[in-house]
Amino acid sequence: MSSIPRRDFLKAGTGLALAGALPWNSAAAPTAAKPNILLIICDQLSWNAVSAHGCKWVQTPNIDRLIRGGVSFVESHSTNPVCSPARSSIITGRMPVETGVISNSRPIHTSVPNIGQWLTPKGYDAMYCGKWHLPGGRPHTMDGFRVIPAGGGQGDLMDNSVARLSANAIANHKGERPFLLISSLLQPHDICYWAIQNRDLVPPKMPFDELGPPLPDLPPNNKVRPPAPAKLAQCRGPAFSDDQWRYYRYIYFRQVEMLDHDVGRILDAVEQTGKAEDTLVVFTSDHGEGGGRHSHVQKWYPYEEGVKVPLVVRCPGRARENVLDKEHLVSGLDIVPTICDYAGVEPPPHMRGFSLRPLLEGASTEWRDFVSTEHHFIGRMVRTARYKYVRYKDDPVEQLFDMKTDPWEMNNLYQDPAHADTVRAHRERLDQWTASLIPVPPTPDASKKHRQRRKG
Amino acid sequence: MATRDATRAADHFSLRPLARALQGLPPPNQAPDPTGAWSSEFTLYSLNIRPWAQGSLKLTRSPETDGAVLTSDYVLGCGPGVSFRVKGETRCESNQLATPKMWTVTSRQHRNDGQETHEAAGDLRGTYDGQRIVLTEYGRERPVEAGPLLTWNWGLFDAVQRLAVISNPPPLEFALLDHFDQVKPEQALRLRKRCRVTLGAKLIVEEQKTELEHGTVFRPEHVERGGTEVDCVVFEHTGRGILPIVYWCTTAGYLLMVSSGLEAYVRQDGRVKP
Repeated sequence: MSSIPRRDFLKAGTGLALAGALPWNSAAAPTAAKPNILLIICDQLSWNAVSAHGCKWVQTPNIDRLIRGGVSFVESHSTNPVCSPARSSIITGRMPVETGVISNSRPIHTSVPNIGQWLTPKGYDAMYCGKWHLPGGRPHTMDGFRVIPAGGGQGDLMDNSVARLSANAIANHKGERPFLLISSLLQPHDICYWAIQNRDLVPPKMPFDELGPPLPDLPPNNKVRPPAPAKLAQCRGPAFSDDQWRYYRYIYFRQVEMLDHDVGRILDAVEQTGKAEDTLVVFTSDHGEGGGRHSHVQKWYPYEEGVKVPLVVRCPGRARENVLDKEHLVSGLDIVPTICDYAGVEPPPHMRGFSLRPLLEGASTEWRDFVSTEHHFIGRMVRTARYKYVRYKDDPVEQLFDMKTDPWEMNNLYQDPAHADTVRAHRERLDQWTASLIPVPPTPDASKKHRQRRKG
Repeated sequence: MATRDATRAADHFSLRPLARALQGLPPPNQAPDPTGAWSSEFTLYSLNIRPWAQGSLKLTRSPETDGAVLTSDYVLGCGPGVSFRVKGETRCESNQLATPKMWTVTSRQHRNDGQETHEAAGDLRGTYDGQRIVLTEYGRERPVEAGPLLTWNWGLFDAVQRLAVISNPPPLEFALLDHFDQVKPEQALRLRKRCRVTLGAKLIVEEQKTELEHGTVFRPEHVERGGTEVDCVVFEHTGRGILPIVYWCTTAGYLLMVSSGLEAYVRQDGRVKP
């Protein structure tokens, strides 16, 4: 499939040629009835931590069921490997620098509508249940949404209530207005807290010979550290032994399985109430998890473990089923245009993403040739079909990885003379993309830490 | 209750994150007969940074000729003025696992003014015939394969109390009915250890002195003082879709606490509120 010429793509990025003006969008006539829309967002789920995506250390029958029923994108990227910025993109279709949410716990800038604000006046009943973080963990009021308050806390506490309340809301929803429900689950994010609470307590040699599910192998790049800025070292995990790393991964995969059952509760409600045929389901994660790759825990970095996330869309009778799309570069930016397309409404202005509808339905279309990720402290990344290029903030070290021959990102090619042209081309591409964005001033950080700092 | 346990380094996690939640909990005077009628109340804690109370569970066991009925009342706070309550009645087999035979569950969201949120309400009924579960929800029946051995989250609270009084409790393998409607396979419950823990200790801030190369550092640290030593039987539960869960019972079969390292249930019976 040919790519959109870069110049045209960047035009789209400036808002001169919006997603709504692209050929497939104008041709995509609204369906007779607006579908219900269910967007399930989870937290810190790596693309390859799902059994249907080839992970043999985990069992995710419910997410697998969703993948079999729709299209799952292999080359799916977060806009920012941090919770709040990525979430701001998922629900606005804009890059974090344009939503004002450059780090955690900031509100979306008032000039940028979220999908609830956009669809409510167009006939949708917009509901939100679960983690918000824009700001506040679980506020009772959110612009654009009717909030279903859920429980808080770690482990089983929050997600079980989010799933059951979401399921009940789907089952009880009546009336002529279709629903837009965002179910925002917390797992497997708690691996962060597990590591904090327990890392000094797990012995270097595992005493547990009867864990049930086996201890996962180490990833091939566990001990590989390609040239990178010193600040990335802050993201590395503790000095774990091999067994400790394997146990860390074991715990992560159990949390992924916990998530899977809560996804199952929500999907069961859609299917048992006879609403599956009328409901567009989108499943994604804000960012990934280190899982011991490059000795990393958690997120923040532009390696695959931080930025590559699931993006699955199911729309029975419209989207294709059981398709693993390995070709197209997609982003959390594409979710709002896709929802708007199926809802039969124009997307908000200045969309940076595109409707996935032609890809979902198997239509012939041009597509973008790169996606981008940003992090206000780390730097910016551009990913093309073959290469990943990263420019770090305030650091001369750059990175170029050949994702075809080096999918585990072990060999940084940025100083290889044979790749000088590739580096130059990617630098230029990143500069043009960055210049095309419409940044807004960062919105105020509402976290407790910063409130205290402001008080002095 | 305190967190001192010399063998903790070989556990999935320490009791230390729970220390604040365990302060002032007295050793149990007398355990009820675990095979008879009993009622217990737990506070649910999230263990991020420090224990953070999220809700409660009241569990009541009523023995019957062919098993027991366990009623559960699970309440989670959902932010200011709102709570989510799941009430269940589960008829269980008389076996070691408290295998559920039939259950009815209601879930409701309440606001402080007593109003119920209609859209959040749900009802569920289930049966298990020794191989297959049939769930009735949203007006439809749905079969779920479960295999021959099944128990459920709070059925294990009953099971470990009865296992704790056996001299050599056998390891058990089963499927877990998670919160009444999802089946998690490949579960195992086994005796982890017998040990002595200190209950009823107080957390006191003391200045800890550390000698470093270029001087001495003093920093405050919580330490435990006082308390009574109690013999405990500790079970661990591992499997798909759960973090390793540890159950702490007295040798008389009194379940003190349950923790996964991220969340914990701490029994409140006998706690004197300040």
